[in-house]
Amino acid sequence: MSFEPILLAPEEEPEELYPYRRVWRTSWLEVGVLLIAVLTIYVLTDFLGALPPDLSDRLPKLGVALLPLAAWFVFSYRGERRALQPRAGLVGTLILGALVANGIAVPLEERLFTPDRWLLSAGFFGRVLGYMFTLGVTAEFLKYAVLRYTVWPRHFNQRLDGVAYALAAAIGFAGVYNVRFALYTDATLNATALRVASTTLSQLAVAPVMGFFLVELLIGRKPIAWLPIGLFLASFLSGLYYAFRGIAIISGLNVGATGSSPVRGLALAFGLVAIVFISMAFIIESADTRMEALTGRREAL
Amino acid sequence: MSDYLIRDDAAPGLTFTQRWNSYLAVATVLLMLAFGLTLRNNALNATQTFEDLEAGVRAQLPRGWLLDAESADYVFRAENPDALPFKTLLQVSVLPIGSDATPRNVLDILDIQRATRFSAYRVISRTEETLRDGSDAIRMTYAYTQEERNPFLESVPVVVQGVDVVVLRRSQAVVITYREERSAFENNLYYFENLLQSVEIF
Amino acid sequence: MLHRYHSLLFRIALAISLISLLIGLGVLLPLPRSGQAQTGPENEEETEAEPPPPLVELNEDVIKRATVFIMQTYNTEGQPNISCVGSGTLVSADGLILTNAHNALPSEMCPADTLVIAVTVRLDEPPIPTYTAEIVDASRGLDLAILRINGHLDGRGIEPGSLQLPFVELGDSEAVALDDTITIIGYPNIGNDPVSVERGTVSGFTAEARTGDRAWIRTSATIPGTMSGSGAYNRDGKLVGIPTIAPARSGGVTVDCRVIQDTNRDGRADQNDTCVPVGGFISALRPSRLARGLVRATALGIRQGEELTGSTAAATAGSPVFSRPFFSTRINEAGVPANVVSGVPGGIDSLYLFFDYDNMVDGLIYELRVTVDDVPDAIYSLPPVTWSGGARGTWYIGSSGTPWRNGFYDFRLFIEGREATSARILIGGGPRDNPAFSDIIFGLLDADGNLAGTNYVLPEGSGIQARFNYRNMAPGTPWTHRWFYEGTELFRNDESWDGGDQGTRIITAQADFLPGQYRLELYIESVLSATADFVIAGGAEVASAVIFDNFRFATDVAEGAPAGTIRSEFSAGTERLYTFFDWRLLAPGTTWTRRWLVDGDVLFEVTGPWDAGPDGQNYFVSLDSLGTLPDGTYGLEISIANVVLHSVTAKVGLGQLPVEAFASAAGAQMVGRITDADTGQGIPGAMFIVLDAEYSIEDFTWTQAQVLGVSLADSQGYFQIPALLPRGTLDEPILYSVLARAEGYLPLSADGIIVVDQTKSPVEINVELSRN
Repeated sequence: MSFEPILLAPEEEPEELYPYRRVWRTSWLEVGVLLIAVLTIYVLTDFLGALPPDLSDRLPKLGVALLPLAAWFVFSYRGERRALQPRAGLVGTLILGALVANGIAVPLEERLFTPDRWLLSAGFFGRVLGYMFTLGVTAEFLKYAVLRYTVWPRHFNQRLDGVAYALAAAIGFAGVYNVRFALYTDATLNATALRVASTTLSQLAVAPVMGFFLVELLIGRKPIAWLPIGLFLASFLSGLYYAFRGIAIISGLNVGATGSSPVRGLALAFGLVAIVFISMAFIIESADTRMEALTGRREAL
Repeated sequence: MSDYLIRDDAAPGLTFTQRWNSYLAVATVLLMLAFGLTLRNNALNATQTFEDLEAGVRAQLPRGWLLDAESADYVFRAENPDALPFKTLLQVSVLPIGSDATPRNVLDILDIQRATRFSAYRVISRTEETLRDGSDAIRMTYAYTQEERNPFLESVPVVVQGVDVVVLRRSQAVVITYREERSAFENNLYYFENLLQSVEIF
Repeated sequence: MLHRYHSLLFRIALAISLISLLIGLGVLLPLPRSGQAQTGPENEEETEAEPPPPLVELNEDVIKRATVFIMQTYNTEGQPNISCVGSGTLVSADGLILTNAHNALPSEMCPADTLVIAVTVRLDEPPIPTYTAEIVDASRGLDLAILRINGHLDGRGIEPGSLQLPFVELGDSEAVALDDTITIIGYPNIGNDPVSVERGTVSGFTAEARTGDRAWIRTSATIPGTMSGSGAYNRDGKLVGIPTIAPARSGGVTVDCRVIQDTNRDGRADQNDTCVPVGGFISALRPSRLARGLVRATALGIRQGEELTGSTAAATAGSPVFSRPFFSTRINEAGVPANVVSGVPGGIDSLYLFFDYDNMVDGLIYELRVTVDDVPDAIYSLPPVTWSGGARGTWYIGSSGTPWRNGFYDFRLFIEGREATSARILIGGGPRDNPAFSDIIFGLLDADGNLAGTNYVLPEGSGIQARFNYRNMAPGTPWTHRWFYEGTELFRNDESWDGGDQGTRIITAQADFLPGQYRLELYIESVLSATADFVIAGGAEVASAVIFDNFRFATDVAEGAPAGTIRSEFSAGTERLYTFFDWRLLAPGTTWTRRWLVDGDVLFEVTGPWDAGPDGQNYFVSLDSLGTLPDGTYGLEISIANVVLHSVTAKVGLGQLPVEAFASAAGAQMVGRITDADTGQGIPGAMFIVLDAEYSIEDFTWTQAQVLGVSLADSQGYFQIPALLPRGTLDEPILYSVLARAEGYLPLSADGIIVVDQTKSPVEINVELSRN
């Protein structure tokens, strides 16, 4: 005689096993950690006075500059390692992103484009175009090139792969700018933290665009100018960010007002990254859903 | 894994669209960069026309520079408001001279005047040259230290290098001047050369 | 369910992102585009209850920066030595300094071939020698001088118009009242300490002949001697007085001094070396009124030109002396004592000590020490100051408007530290009914038997009438009137009083009254009761004396006669202005005063003995200019015995001074710091521009004509706009636009910086420039 157990609650459905790292989740975690760390430094410095406002020692600044990299390793890279199907070559992509930034982007900016000499006093649209056709296109092309000539198309198996690799390249790319800022300027820790967060978030925000365009090139029929359109769009976003940042970090100049508002620059970068992440997530989800309806599959191409 | 539309072994073989996308991407970037550099050069070399009919001077000046044509000491003086720490200066002045005066006499007068006004004023060189319109001119390079006049501000003196090109016109000497902080002198000399190319004395 | 949950999360995330983006773009946090510079209390309800503040409150920082330290230096064996030090105040942006004459003029104790000017670069630090200066004008008597900064310490000259220094404006010293708070700002030491602020109240006023009841402002503040020549300020921050102490002397009133250098080059700095006097303490301020003419003339570039000088009056010989001291409680408008008293009832608020002087020289040090019941009294005393009355005459010193308490007052006068004369008076008790004469005035009887032409200047003739008041006179009281000519008694009449108890009486003196200085003394029972001096000069015209006539203006002089353009209206650009006149019957040595005025304001006033013959033509005085005389109405006034005898004017150009003739310190100064937003460090060379109020940022086309002022940040990022920002009013504020620029940084600009009459100066704007 046996008794069947009486189930008071409905039987749990077995959770669908997702074999890949959840790119958006880890990226949001990185963004969140970065924001919390930076805002903590900001509050400790400007509001609580726990940190001296003129603290500009290189070591803590370097630590802050490497924070995005650390967050990426903790959340994205470790998450990747734990996934059933880890993406290969992420670290290499990151390193290559850093190398092209240091070897090509920075020298071009400092020696050829010299945007500080002619763009800062330009009007808004002039600034959009100027940054778009110099720093923007350079950065986006370099990050694209890192993906295009290494992991693409071999490791691009699904749409989120493009995002994951592009974000890795962006972290490396931004890391170089962050470290240079920490080491080669006299900026305070507070300013460094705000700048690191702004730079990283802006790079993270624009990078998925080219990742997405690269992935989409692998799927179905795309126009012959698909990648140029992607590059143009990413560059435009980058130019738009620089132009808006020029407005955002300037506040009213008056008696008692200093004319500077770096926190708003951070807010702008966060807004951009959030909008792009959410939009990209929506677009990718929609595309995957449509593909699932057509092919019965959504995870893999 | 077997469901991959594109497998590892498919990597070597790109489709026509993919291949041309890659080519066009590079081409697009090159075009965009070219456009960007054009924008840059246009912005850096943008000029505005200065004209003083009374003094008989017309010239192209860098756009966005602070232009002073109010003083009796010069026809105009333009300074780059952004330059650090010394404001790059272009200036044209007209001095009345006697009929027997030579450009070297004019430079002598300038030297004497400046020696009392500028600290550590030194003439570096004097050379003769011919301007675009064929007129003979003399070029003098000099240096001095520029210091803050306001005693309530603390500033380290800046070593300034300057160039004067003197050309005679009837009973007047036209002095075209460029001054820049010593280390940036060569880099920004093109402002002066552009001015020399554009200046018209009538 | 899960899908709905994700949809909600998506919407929340999207909302947060949009908010962040909008904050970043500045949409949700609108920025202040305009604002008012500090305009006092923010709570309007509180301000309504308070009395309206002065338009521009005293701003110590600006005044401190306008206060300079003056070092008189001389060279020995190629080495500069500091001989004397003092303070001064910048009264114009282009480097005019007001100070004591003894701080600038060389003397035995203070040899000087170079005047070094040290300025306060940092308010909390001692001054730093920066410039050299020259003396533009100086009055040893008033102990006031105007200096002009003429070079950098390294010997380089100053480019015209290049100096834009902070300066103060002269205030109305006549408006200063007893117990007003004044602030004295100067250097308290021999250059070792930062500029110092001393506060005190006005404790009284000292009267002197020629300068009137407010010849000196007395203060309770403790002012170190090295602050002599600095400035005393009212609540509005206007300079109303110049703290003044007697110059140091190697003999007589030598003061404390400090050895700071090896001046004799013996390898040691010891008592054998020349020391720098540091003085005692100052309690007397020269009113700024006395300096106004000097300052205005210098600012206009006008100076006194050549003049006709005849046989100079005999040089003083012998020792200076004071004599015939007596007291009076009233002085009339001509500076003549209305009465003579030897004792006065309690409750008086004015008392003057009169005395004659001879062999004096302007610049000598004299001093009045007063004791009340043998206790020294600082208020009624006058500390050692310089003599300004010329060689000989009658002088007075005293005080009005200050209650004199009861007691025995001993007045002792000192010349160069030696007692010259003394007098004693009792103040106290009730009204006295002793007989007295008072209020002598002179004139000539007209056909109706009335006294006409009453004053103290009378024409040559054979009879003079004097009218005086009398009271408490009893018939039969012996009285005497004595007449003097140039110090010698002409005649005397001893009479017995035959009039009433009180009233007015006219007496006549018959004699050949030749041109010269006369005196009448009235005695009652051999005690001096009233006295007055008068001058005989010129011929009679009706009852008045006509001494000067035929006034002419000219632009030049040739062989003692007018030359060039001769008329009373001159074109703009005139370089010199001569005034010629003829004179008659004016005795050499007669004290006369001439005043040059421009647009009604006195520029120069010179009192001295007549130095030409008794009759003549074409005496001339002149005005000179550094370039050309500014447009204006120029006037010359001539007076004798405080009676203005002639006043003539001539127009140059438009006949009115240009509006901007005098720099105004009433505007607000703009200062600040430009820093890197990332580093917090200053950006050396960053440019800060203030546009003229007519232009906004949008209108700005980068031409200098639209710019009010430009300043480049110094090595620490500090800037200081060299021009003052004119103030508006609360009803009609003036709005300024500003820009900050530096290569590599996002440019900053703003419209609507409001400057009104209550805006505190300096307006401080701190700018953080950001890199993109």
